[in-house]
Amino acid sequence: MAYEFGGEPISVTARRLREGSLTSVKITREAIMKIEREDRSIKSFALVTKERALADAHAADAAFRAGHDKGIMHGIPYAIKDVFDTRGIRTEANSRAFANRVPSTDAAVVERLNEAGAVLLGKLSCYECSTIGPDPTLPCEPVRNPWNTDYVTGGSSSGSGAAVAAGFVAVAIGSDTAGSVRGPAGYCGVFGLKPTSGLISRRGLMPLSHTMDHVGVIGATPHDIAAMMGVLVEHDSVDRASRLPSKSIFDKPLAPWAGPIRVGVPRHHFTVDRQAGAEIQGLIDRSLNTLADAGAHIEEITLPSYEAFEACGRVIMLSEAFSLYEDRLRAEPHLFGPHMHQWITPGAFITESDYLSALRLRKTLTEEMDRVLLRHDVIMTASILTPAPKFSDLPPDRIPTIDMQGFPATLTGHPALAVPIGFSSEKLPLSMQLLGRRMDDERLIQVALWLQVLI
Amino acid sequence: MSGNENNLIGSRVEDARRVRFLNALKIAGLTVSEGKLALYADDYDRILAEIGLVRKLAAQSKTPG
Repeated sequence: MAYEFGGEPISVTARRLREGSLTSVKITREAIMKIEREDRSIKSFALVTKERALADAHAADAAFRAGHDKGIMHGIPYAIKDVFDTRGIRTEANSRAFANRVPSTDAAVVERLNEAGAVLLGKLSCYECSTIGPDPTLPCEPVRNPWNTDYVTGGSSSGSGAAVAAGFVAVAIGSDTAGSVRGPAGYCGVFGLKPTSGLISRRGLMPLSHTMDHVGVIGATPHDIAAMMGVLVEHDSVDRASRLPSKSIFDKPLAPWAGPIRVGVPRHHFTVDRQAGAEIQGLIDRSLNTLADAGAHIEEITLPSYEAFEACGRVIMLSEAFSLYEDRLRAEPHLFGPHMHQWITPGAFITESDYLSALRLRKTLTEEMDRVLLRHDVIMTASILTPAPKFSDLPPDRIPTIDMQGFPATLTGHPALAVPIGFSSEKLPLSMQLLGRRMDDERLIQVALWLQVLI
Repeated sequence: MSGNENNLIGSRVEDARRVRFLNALKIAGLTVSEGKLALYADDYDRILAEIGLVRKLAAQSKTPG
């Protein structure tokens, strides 16, 4: 797979930093210049933290000269969705309701990256408070797709997908409650991991749905995601969902998957329950045939309907989101954009009993997914169902319909990876999705690497 | 049935839907501008359908606890 955008993989940059053929200051300066030059049309950054980035980069170069090495992310620039707290740096979630909000502490993921010596390049634009968009009335203009700026990026981690696709950073952090990492990764032609629930702490992430929010990682390559995951995976007693796998993961370089593998395909999710476009269906079939020719065992499977996952997910997510924002929506509705206000309002009509029913159904759906994953190593399915929509085709007065299959993995907590699989006739990226067993996130990266080798 | 009679029935259905949504809004203590009522009423109908599906499937669930 060839990318028009994007720089070199993190592993190559890391090696050059240690050899002394490159400095962190040089790559940081070049990244800032590229952003200043090209992000005027893409608008992926809400804020470029130029001084902070150069200070981080100088510190990394000094550490290398002194023989101190903090690991693969040391001296590497990254950027983060503007819903993660950054001490002393504005964190506004693209919302007037949070204008000039400056946190006094860092989010857990920022702390981890500080300790790893990574370079914070800036805060990335997003849909308001990780909800819905694009909404042209918000403080940040909608992010535009680097492959063609007439098209949307998807969201809510819009800036994270676009910044990686544009080559401003090799890796960015986003959040994913119903596909908010995998959607923009899909539309922008990059990789997006929604890890196993609890693997990365959400401390300092502005919440939307406390049982469905996940930290996610978007990378130009699967290796870049693995490098970032190696820093971020850690237990945090403050996030009660936090848990660690029984064996260490993302602690060594990953190789493409080799060996037998059983792939389950819930084709009904993207051909009957919902309709993926013909180009996406064709490219998923091509990927499946390629894997089968290489020895994978492919089997069509039946999961509960996509409607069941979506209905259950929306009842839980909207109920939790409304409960979180209810007071401010009543007292200061004018501070919220029209799309977020409309999106969150149905949460007011969900009763406690409905919410508890949805939690009960969630257990059943999770057990069904676990049952299928006993017999299959990974599930391969659709992520986005169409190429990115064009801005001029979006309805001017209502929430745009963005078709993607994000709910199953955030509802059940299983890891899911958006994988680019080719391009549409309009030369827009297309994507599919791999899901795996809980704590088996590495395998998804390895299968994606295998596919890269094969296709 | 004439076209006019059809339209009348259609508008009564619309009125009933509107009243039901306005009642729900009132109970929730929320307000929506007149121009956006139809949009919000569509979302209301959608979440009611989703709640119905969740209730049905949860009632069939054999998962304990």
